[in-house]
Amino acid sequence: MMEWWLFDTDMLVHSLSGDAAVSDAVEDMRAQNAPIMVSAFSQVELKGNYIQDLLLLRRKINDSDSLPSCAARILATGGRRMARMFAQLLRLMTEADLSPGNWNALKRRLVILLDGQIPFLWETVASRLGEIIDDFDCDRALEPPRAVGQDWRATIPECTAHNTSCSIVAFFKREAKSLENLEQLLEWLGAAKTAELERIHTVITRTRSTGRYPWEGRTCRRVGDILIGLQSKAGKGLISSNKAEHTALSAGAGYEFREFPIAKVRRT
Amino acid sequence: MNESAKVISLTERIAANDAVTDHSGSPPTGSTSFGYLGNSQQRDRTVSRRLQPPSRLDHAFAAICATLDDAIGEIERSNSFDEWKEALDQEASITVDRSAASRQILGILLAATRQKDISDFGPAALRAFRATTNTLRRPNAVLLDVKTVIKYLNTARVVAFLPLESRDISVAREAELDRFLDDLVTKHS
Repeated sequence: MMEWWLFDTDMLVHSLSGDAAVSDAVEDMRAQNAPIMVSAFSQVELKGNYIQDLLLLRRKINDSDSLPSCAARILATGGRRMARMFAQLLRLMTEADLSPGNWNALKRRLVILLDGQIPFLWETVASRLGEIIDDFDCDRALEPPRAVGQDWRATIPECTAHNTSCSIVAFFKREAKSLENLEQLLEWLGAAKTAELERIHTVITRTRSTGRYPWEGRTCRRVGDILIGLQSKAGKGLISSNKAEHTALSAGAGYEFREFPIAKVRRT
Repeated sequence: MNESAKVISLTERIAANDAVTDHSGSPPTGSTSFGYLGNSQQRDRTVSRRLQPPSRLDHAFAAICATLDDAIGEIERSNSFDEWKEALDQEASITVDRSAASRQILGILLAATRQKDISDFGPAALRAFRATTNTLRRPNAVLLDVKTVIKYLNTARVVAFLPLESRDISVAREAELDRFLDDLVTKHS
């Protein structure tokens, strides 16, 4: 066993928090548990979540001819995402340091700021926290967001035989015993499973019954928690704020889980 | 000519040029050299410099060079840093047909220096900014240039992240934002 801890993808995102208490706590966690590793697969998850959110915000800003018009587009998003996106817009406007009355100049500045964030995030956010570990040579982790003219493309394609040559099948084969134990635990949990644990249970059951992990499509993104959890077994364990899933997964799959207490950090 | 004198004469030339031209530009008297651009581009750029007025990014480059000039005082170097930032801000605010890579590099520099002054950066960071500004001056920055710039800045330990993660906003704050958003849209619809 190597001497490192693995940071889950959520730790990368917390390190970018607008709440200094959270980002400082991530840095403390990193310093106290060094050396830290980060999964290459976290790049894929970051692209699919955080970066996609920024690009959606960028599109709404770019398509708007005034701040109220931008606000209306954000309102149309609905749900919790609407408030988060508006919070991001307000933070971005604070960073841009221009009057909202001068929307055209502000808009150009906001778009340029976001255009700088995308490549900087992709190239740096994981590697600044720790070394990258890539046990299964993930092809999707090598595909950065791409600027196309005045816009961006950051979709994550489905994995097919034409675009995938990773070793995820062999990775899961090596963890056959862990999967057997985990399946038993998930069976026992029954209806108490979260939606994420339910998805993982389905995939593990299928893997064990067919003898092959069903990698095609978007399977890995649906079971990212266990994928990264299993990677942590080569080190001391996993650090994550995702207590709901990793408490169960770590017990079943046999890895150490150290919680990043995000709720407590935010309260202080 | 030392770097500070270069900045001053450049400022005067830009001001004079702005006063008499409509920004399509008549050439300034005399030629001017702006130091390294990069190999084959430099020769072409030096020739074309004689035909075009210095750009805002040329001014920015001269200003950031001045911040590394030991021959000038601390206050002047600080002023040069502020001039550099201002030139970048102006560049970001105007409508220019800019390549994707140029936009990205400019965005990275703006994020790295927001709400900061020269005292926040050491010589390694200033050299990284100088190299990055030089890259930005090139007419056709490409993706590899963006990666190189990120590498310069990381080596110099310059942080260019914006703290935009907002999943951690509280329920109370979320409600407050919902009301503000609603208000903004309703008042202006």
